Amino acid sequence: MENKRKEFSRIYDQYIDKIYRFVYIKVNSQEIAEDLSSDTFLRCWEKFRENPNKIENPQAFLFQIARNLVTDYYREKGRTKIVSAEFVSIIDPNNNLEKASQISSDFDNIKEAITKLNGDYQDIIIWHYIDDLSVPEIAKITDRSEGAVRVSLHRAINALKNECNKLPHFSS
Amino acid sequence: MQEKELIAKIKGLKQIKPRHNWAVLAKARILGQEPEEETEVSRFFKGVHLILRHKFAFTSLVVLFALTGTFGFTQNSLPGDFFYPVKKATENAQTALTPTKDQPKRNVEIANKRLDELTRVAQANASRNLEPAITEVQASILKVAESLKELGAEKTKEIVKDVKEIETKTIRIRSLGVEISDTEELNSALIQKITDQVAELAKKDLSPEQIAILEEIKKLIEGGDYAGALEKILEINGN
Repeated sequence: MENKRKEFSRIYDQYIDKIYRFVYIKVNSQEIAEDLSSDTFLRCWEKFRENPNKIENPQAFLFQIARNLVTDYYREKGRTKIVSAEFVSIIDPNNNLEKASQISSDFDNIKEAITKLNGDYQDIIIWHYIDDLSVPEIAKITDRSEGAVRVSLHRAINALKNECNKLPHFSS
Repeated sequence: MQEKELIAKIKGLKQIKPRHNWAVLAKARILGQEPEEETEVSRFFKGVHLILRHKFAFTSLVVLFALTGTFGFTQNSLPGDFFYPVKKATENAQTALTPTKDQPKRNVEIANKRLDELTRVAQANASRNLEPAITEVQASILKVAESLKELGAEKTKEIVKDVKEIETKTIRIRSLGVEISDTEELNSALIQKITDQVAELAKKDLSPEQIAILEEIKKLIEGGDYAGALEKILEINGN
């Protein structure tokens, strides 16, 4: 059992940042991201504990769990997306010019733009451009062909470009 | 916007990372110990808290606890728990009854208790209690540092073993991923004591055995074990 713990501990250390970041970008709340990330690893550990050999690709497995948990979270909350308070000042059309001139950083803007995409496009952008997953790796997670992933990637980046162009004061 | 620029901005999100303390505690929770089970005593005590809203009853109980010191219920409470103030009030009442000359020893005892509490919090991944427990530890260690500055060599020798325990527990807690700051004051106080003792030693002729011990002391200081170094140097100085 101790060997399993050690092995899983290594997996945890290797992927905790990626899983947390993936969840956080999608839910935009530290508390919720911590809860869901913790649940992701707990579920993975439960499977791993039964039989480590069942999990051929821990990364893919963890992302699948995380994705499902985020979907469940939104379903439970009865909404399709969350916009945090920090974004309101950017998109609120009633802001006067003075407030509007207080430009949020590109960091906040790009985060906000990503949350406006559909779930699949969000996932693929996070995986490929932030977590540096290759097309074959993403294909394994999503159980799709590499060709389909490439097409989605192309469409996702175009969709994101459109969202960014809608944002006022987004530096280009 | 050019695609290249957009991708560069997306990559900026790599800076999003989880809190280190949370990540460590979450791992410990997932892989480690089961949380403590609620006991009959703690369930009983949860019901009793309604009575404690009455200040008179609260004050009477604090006095009772101070006098008897035997109410085990509150002894298990942790910083951030509802009954922790009762535990602290009992402790403060007992401290008030401690003679002035024994206060430094009392402060060291309390610091060690705070460290034990923080260890329990870290092991149980009780994130709600983490910040209060860290605050309590830091405050208690500062008090030890202040007491140490005023102490003579004789009194220092009495408490140095317990101060060593503080250092050992602090290292252990850090290995659990919990950062404690404000230990620099304690280290400064210990270093000052070591400096004073070295000045005393310089006035004496040392035997070869004592010189060998000085080498050990040097290694302890280099390793950051100031309490260990102080203990040894007090022995050589015949205190």
